[in-house]
Amino acid sequence: MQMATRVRIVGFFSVLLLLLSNIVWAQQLADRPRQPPMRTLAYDATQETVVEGTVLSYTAESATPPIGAHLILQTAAGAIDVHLGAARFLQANNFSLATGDSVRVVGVSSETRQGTIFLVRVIQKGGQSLVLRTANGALLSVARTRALGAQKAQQQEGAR
Amino acid sequence: MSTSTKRWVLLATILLASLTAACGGGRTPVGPPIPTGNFSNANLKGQYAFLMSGTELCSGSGSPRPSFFTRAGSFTADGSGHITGGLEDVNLCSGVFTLQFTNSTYSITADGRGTLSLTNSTGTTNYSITLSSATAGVIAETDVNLTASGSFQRQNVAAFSDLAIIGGYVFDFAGITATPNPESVIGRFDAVGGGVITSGLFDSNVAGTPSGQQPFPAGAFYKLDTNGDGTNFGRGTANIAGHIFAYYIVDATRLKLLGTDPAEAFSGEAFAQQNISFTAASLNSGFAFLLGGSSSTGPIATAGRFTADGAGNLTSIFLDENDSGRVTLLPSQGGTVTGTYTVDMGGFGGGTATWTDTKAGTFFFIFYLISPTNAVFQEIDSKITSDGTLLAQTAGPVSPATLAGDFAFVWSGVSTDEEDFVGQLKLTSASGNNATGIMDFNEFAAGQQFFNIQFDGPLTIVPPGTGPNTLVATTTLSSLMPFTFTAYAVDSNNVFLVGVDKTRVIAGSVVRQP
Repeated sequence: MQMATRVRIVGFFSVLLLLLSNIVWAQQLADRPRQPPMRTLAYDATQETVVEGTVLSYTAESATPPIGAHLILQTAAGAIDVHLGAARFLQANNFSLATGDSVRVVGVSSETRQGTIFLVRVIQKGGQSLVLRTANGALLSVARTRALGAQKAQQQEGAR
Repeated sequence: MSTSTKRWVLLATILLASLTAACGGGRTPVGPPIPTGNFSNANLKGQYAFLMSGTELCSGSGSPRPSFFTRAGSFTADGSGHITGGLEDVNLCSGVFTLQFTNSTYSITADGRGTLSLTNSTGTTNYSITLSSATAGVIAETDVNLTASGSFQRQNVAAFSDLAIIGGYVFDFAGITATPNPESVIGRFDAVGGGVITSGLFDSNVAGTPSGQQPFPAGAFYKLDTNGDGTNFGRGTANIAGHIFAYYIVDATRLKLLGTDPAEAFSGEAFAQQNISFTAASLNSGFAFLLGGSSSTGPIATAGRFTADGAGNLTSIFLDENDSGRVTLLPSQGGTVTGTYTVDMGGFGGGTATWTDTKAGTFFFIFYLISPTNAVFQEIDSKITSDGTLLAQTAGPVSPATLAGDFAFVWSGVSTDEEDFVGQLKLTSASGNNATGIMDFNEFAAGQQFFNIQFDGPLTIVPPGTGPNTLVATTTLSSLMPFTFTAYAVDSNNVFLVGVDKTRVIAGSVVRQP
């Protein structure tokens, strides 16, 4: 087959495929359920507040859900249960908490059948500040350190 | 459980202490039983594609910290304990690498359990495996700073061709974005052979915010490697739903996907879609489902079942959801559940499922049908990123007698940190203490690996057996808390498990061995 003919055929099929793709891609996209109302303990960033208080107790691994680190914070409005996510994430970032510490937390208060839980996005103690959640409300202890970026993450020694 | 179910936190220090202490306490530790069965090294013979995801320990500035990672590849077993070749792609926090296997080994005992050691230029990684047959098995990594779990299937080398990948494919992949947020993506595309993708639709869910159905961005393709890796290992590269993947061909009906953008980490699978025009009538049976992912508060795992009537209505809806230790059961106490589903116009197999419990609220899901009996499934409730599988369920009844036999299993979850389990479960037809098993597992937080840990307990079937049943597994590690699962039988050969303990989120599946 002549090269020119071959090119034409390939070109024809390319255009055809493009048209086919456009036909399908241009179809009306299916409806999906609208964003459902927030469930209990869903992090709604629009409801963020700032709370300050004194740590009454800190538990790295609470037996009470949500699993993870909790602290009981004495605030002007009373004691509240504060959920921090994985204790290991705090440790990896050299952020320690102890009874008597004064802390400031940014997050969302959520009502559950077991009481109110404050879900933290940012915690500050003294001059130290640690972000625990993304702006979308996902725990960084879940999302992990994938975006270490300029920190040039390295795998620990060992085989890959 | 989909490859997306790797996440996070808890379990009391008691557990860690007990794991460290290993055997002790009330139960008398005994050596592992002599394996029985018909498996041997000869059963692992040929070329197998694998995919797993998990947690690695990653160092940068500051203290080492856990990070999500995933690996996919191909190994060739000679039937005599040797891995004669292979290749893998691994997406780590330090980058994405393609590594060739040399001088590797494996061993299979009579019960189908075994070990696999894969050596590449950086060293050796170690795995525990359980064969469900000579063509498939489950796998868990058992290295100190790397834990992961997944599956492997024998490859059909005749399908190592761009022309073999043709028709509609449904996919499900999940992982971590560069932002970093959890993301699940499900959808379908048309491969026309020769590496061309002509159309694609997907639904993404980033940190619990669903995208709605979207068309593929421009640039979709798939292409088998031309450097020899394509013909030798079935490896290729693809652009699916805007993400770049390395893929490994299992056969013309199944691809294993690993995201190769080092700023993010994704993995999943694509399945050939039955070539029919899907409608609401396509869903006309009972279905069981299993999902895993994350919510605002940490890891989440969900299992359940429903009956679809072929006309858009869902009945007999049951669900067990463990959201970071908060367990929701449907129907809730005193509540009733009603539901509906839709299948998208156009026949491509996308659709939605929605049900409302009068006490617990409404649950939203999206699916893409692989066939009328199989789909990928994604939860889209607010701030939940979770996905998995939906399988047509037997009409039943399911009983201890129908389930009696040997099964391979893999569980993955989070207590203090990620934990991955692989082993064998034996069920008898007795109604009492009818479940025994043996397993290997990796506790990432403790940096400890456990081998030949036995367990037993009752699997309590509630007639007709197609709804929620209970499996309580108590191990020989006396201070390791028993695992309490809700078990949804897909049929007599497959069971989905979701843990309902408050201090652990775990899910997995068991598959009958021959």
